[in-house]
Amino acid sequence: MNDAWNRMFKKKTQKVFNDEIDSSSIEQDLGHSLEDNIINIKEALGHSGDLIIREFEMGKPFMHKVATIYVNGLTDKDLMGNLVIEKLMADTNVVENEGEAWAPSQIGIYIKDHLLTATHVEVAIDLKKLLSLLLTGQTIVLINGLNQAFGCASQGGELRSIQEPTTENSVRGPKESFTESLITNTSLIRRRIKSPNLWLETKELGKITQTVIGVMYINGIANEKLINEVRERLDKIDVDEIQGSNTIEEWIADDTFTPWPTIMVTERPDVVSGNLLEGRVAIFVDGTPIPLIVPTTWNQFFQTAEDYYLRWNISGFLRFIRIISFLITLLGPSLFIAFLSFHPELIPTPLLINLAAQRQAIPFPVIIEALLMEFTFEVLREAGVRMPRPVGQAVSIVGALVLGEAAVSAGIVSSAMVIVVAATAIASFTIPHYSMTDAVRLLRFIMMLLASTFGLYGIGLGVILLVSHTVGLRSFGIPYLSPFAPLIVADQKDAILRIPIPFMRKRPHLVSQKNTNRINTKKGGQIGEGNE
Amino acid sequence: MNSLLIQRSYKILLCVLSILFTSGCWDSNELQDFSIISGIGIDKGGDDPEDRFRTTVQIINPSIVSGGQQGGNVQSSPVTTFSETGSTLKEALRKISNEAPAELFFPHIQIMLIGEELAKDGMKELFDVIERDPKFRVLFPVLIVKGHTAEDALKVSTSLRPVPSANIEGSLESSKEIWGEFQSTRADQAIMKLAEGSVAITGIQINGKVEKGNQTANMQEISQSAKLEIKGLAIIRDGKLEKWLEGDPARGVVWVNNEMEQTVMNLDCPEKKDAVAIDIGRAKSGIKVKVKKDKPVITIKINAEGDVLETHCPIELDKDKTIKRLENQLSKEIKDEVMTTIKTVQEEKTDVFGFGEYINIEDKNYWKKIKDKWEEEIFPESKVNVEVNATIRRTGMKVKSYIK
Repeated sequence: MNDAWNRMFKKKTQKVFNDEIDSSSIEQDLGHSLEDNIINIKEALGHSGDLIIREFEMGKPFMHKVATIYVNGLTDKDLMGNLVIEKLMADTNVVENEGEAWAPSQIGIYIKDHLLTATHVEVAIDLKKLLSLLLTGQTIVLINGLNQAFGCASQGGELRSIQEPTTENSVRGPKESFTESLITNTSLIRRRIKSPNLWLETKELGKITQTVIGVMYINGIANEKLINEVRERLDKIDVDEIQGSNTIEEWIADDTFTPWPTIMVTERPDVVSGNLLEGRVAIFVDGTPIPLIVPTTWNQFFQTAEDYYLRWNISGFLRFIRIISFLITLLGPSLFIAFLSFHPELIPTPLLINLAAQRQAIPFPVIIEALLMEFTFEVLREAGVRMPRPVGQAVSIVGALVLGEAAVSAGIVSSAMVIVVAATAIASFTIPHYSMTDAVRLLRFIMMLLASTFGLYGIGLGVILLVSHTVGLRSFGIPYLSPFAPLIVADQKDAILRIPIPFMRKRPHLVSQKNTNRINTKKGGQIGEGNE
Repeated sequence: MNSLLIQRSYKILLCVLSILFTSGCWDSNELQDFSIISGIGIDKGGDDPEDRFRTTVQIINPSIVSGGQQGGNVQSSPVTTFSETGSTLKEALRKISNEAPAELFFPHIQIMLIGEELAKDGMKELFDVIERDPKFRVLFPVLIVKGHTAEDALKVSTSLRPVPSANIEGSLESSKEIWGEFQSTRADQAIMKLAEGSVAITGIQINGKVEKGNQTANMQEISQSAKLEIKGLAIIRDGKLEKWLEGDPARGVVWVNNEMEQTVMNLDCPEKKDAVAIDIGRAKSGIKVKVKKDKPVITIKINAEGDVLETHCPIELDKDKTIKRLENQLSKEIKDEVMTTIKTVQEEKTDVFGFGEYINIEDKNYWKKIKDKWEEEIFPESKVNVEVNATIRRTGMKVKSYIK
């Protein structure tokens, strides 16, 4: 009875399923028989169609059975053909061997040391290791009679090439962005920082996906405690799948229940290298072109790479504009609502008359009008992201007409409201980082509801709550609002203002406590030689 | 741990909610539910205490004023007035709700007019509601309608600024700034000075045919049949209108009150009277009071700077001597003007400048002694010195005139 119950319901079935995944069948050692090994591999991979096995014989008088195995699409076929298969098949030493037959171990050593000209050869003695080599795109060489397998570096296949950044554009800066390949990404950083102190720790996460995670930092600049913290938090992740850097972000973030993003992401190698040089740590995830940067402070979301490629005065001005736009995005519609429905006495008389004239025919209260417009805008925005390109123009024309003209002339919304919503929408796009834009997008609605129920007083309370929440946030030990709260005067050089680069002598105070001098006054100073 | 956290967050939530719901009174109102009042007029009602006051409100018709964005009926007037009587102002204003389409909205009042008849009877009580009611703001100017009722004045349509109240406010501001003859007394200043005793309030009068004013046709005429004009300075003593000042004596009040911004003074040429125009561009005045031998001596110091902007006679403006002479003339002219004003108010026994307050500051014991008989007996007899220091800065774009 009990058994039947268990068998019928999930608990049991789930367990069975899990057992199959961790099945001990792949944990066995390789055998001596080539045939058995091949069968085991096929079994383990479920006779997948993209598994290509090439069996052939080496040597004329004494036949040595050899097989090469690879997963179609993961390997560079030229590389594999030239460096592995051709070498094995066209070898004259084995072919014309006139003496005694070589033992399998001899053949193995000979093949590994003399024939395989691949850049990297790894030896696997159990099936698990073999499979992991196979699935990372290596070509496996199996020899009959030898209980070893050789994995030859031949990773390749179709990958996206390095392209221009799509969300973080720059006029004067470099025009490359990360790709899905971890190795390409880390190489982009290596090209920028040619220091032996640029260290990369890799680690596989995800029981099923086996995703490679790379933790990159500059030894001697990044704080040891921070690196340990990153390691610890990554170690705590024990999941089946890592679907991209966002999975990691949500696992390692300090505070999940906050509207703010506490980890910065970027698609630009120059941004990553700049942050590494400030003492931060970058976390790359294979398969995602967007690495994470920790620790992150609030004001980083208002800085762009372009700030460092433009002259200091203009970039300070631009940052100021972004902060103002942030405030407009957050508070614009709610202030409008509060003034109109609670404090019309604060509006200058001519403007009030104007607004009253516009609102005379409007059937809804201001808040409904505002929500209607904001909602329409959000719908349009989402549609813009999701819709297929060819219909984009049609949708945007209809959207613009509906939002701009028709709604006003139909008397459903006032034109002042359209102006407010449009200004808010445009202002929201000046925030350089998408995750911050999204955060403000949601907070805006909360502020609007507060404004419509309690007026300016509600907005005041909302802002107080938001600020007090934000002040308490931390990102990997660094106060989220630094350098504003706590106020670090020295770090104001690169907060809202950006002073000329020659004057930026120190790295951010809280991030790098170890090697703080950016500019060496004495010539020939090296990284790691700062004032410890 | 977790339950503690939940408990704590409930407590925080409770605090937040109680903060939200217990503080202040908050009533949201939609803009279309308001009748925006641009001007308010108060007249004498009847002899019966039931209708002691007659209040008139001028309500803006927003769609006409804002340029008819919503289409609007072109024929309708930009404002509408409603009048009601009551024994208190509040009652009268509330009664207007019977006629007005929506709740009256007071914060945007631009002017307050008081009928001459009421001003003569006494207007001391009028301002209590304005000060007490949170819906009023006290920063609008107060004017007294000369010769007519406030109701009539609020009915006069104007063409350049469609809202008559805004029109009146505009001409009051510009006359104060450019011509300097009339000051603008805000309600809060009026309240303060009424509490002390006397006050000078600028007047407004209706020129032309009053009954034509209440027609949109009036707006369409090039020279309107009924026009409003800022005119006269009402001297109010103990809440009652005593006398109208006009012209130079009115300007004297502005000089003494340190409200002069710009004006034009005419000086005499050797052969021609009032033939040199001096454009006063900057002026400052101060009042000092000293008590000497148990009598207050009031000194008014005026500094004025001006340019020569017109001359009808060939004076040698390039000579220092000429300029000096003009400066002396200007000083004398200003002094005469101020002295006339002071004589008039002394005759009227009204201390519109608030000299009494200066005495209080200077010597409060002495002030306590004379407080009760100040306006009646001491002020008319007090010595007032006027010291004027006038400077001529420039002579305009030309030095010598083509006139020979």
